[in-house]
Amino acid sequence: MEFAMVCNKLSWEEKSILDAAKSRGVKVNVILNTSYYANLMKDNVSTELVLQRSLSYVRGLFITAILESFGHTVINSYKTSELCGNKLLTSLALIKAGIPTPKTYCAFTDESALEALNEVGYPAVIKPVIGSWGRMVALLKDQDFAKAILEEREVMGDIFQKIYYFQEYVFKPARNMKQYLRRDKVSRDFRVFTIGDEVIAMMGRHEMEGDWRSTATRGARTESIEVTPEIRELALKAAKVVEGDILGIDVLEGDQLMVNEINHVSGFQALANTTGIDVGGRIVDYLIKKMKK
Amino acid sequence: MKATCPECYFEFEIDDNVMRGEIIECGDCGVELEVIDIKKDQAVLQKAESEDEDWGE
Repeated sequence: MEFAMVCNKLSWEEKSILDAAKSRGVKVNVILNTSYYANLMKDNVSTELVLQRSLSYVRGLFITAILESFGHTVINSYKTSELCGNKLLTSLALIKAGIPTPKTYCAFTDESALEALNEVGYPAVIKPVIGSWGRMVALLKDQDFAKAILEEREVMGDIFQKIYYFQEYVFKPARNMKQYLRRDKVSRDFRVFTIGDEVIAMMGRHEMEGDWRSTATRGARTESIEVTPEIRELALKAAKVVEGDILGIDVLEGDQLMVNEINHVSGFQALANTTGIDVGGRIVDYLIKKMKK
Repeated sequence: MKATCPECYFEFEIDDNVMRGEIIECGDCGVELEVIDIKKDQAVLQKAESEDEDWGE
């Protein structure tokens, strides 16, 4: 039994998948996207099943397109990757399916962006439509700050930075009086990991000291949390909407549970360390099932 | 296995089971290095790709 794995490099996650595969007697053909090239007339990947683990969204998306055109099953698929890798497309899919998500706007010039922000209200969150790890995500506390950020984006030159994507800032409820007195919000969100039609693990991520973001790769404190029926239902519904096999779904806890973002190449080092769940092993088990079908 | 940092030329030993694509840190200058080839008992290293705008997980 063998599958291919496309990646930028062998990070902790990829090594954990390789270890899990080895212990189950499964071979893995590692394809580094840095040295990969394709003859579009001829398939040069011998395995039917391919696990896409490219950190680079664009490289991963295009390689998936090439491999799918040759008939390979790629996890996650091109459709899923395109929907999840572009936050605007994710929002549209979630809204269309009736899944709760933060109030979201987009604009294409700095002037219209300011008008949109007046409707969203401050504080608001600005995000690049493509990108992750909280990069270039900013909390716009007021109009002066928003103008400064928009001015900066206008001169940055990158076309994607001029697609202004905003979301309301979701205030999370205080859990006890101490938290309530300390501030009017407690920032915690959830990373929910789904494989097929199962939620295999979940963790809470806390806002860092001096940083409003709760990105685990940036050092946010994490805690293991038991999956509740509500979160399971919401996450699996979102996974179905984007037709994803293996996903990291970000859920916010405001007045209601909301799906914020969906990651199609999800990191899981923090999740595995926090929950003790062998995520790499569960991924390989899922791939084995797929290969047996 | 032997390896040489292409940035500071520090020579050091790395795990014999190292694989192409693995990222290691130079024990001297601390730069992140990618194993791009393995020749007999020598790993060939180059400075690892830095994070790009579309990177994420």
